[in-house]
Amino acid sequence: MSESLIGQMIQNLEGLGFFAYLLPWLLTLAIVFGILEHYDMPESTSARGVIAIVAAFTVLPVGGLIAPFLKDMVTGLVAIGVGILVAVIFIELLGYKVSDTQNIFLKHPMSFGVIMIILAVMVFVGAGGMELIGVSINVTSELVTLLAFLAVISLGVWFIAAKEG
Amino acid sequence: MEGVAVDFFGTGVADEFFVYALPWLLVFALVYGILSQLGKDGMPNSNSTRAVISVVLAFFSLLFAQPLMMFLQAIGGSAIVILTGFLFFFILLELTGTEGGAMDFIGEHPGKFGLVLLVIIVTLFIGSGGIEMMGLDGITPPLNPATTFFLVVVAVSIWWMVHGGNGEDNKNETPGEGPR
Repeated sequence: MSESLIGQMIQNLEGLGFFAYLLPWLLTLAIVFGILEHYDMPESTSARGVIAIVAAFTVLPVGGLIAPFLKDMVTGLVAIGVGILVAVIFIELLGYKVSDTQNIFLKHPMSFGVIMIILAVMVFVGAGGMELIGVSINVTSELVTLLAFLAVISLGVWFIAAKEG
Repeated sequence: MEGVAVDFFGTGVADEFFVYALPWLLVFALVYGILSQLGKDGMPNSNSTRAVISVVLAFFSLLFAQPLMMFLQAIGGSAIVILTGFLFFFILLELTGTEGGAMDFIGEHPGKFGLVLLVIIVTLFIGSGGIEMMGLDGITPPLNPATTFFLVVVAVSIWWMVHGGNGEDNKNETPGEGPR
């Protein structure tokens, strides 16, 4: 972190537990309340509020563990978001169109969906989500490499079988 | 007006603005935009809840604002360079009088052009540090470059054998559908 004014302020906030406790608390409150409100369950707004506050407080003891995970998740999200934006800029500026009514994402929803799922899993694993849910995976281990290799071979075989079938 | 600009860029205010305010705004806009796009009325359907989630996640961007700005600068700069390259390519196409011009050229070769575009975008993303940003910088290539090259050649050969061997018969089939 730089020695600038805002940098110093962020360091102070970090020291006060703003990122480790307050933000995860607020995020949990917003997510739980938002989901309950989205599904109108329970009907009483105050009951929703109480449930959301209780859920938010249960996160406080693990706030220190969740904050780095959230930070890494946001980093990955921004990286992918910016990557997609650059791709869209390229596609639009160069006038690459599949048809007059459809764009490339609408034309191949399945392929892009699979790519998005793979990217999301990669970000989740990269942010340490597996350790957080109690499953320890060393992404640099030989087993993971072998599994990735087998997955690619399986995809190739599946593709060839699909073409011949 | 020039004096104001010099003051802005000379006093360090611009550094703080570019390093902290822009990533904050970008993350806020991205998250809020994605949440608003989900479902019929956004997910969750309350505007204020979406805003709170976006603000919280945007605050997390302050913790990695400097690497994020470096990534944005790298990917933005590279994208401009490549787009300029494409511009020259189109100018050359027009200069040489290629029939239909640049847009027809892309329209005639959508598959090949799409593949080139995909490779460029992936290279740009990796080259700008996208893999490190995703937290996957610990992954080392499982194979050395020579073996990777060998495997790529084998894969391309198999692909060519499968596609080239059947000639025109497979032209209308949709690739990627599972076996029936």
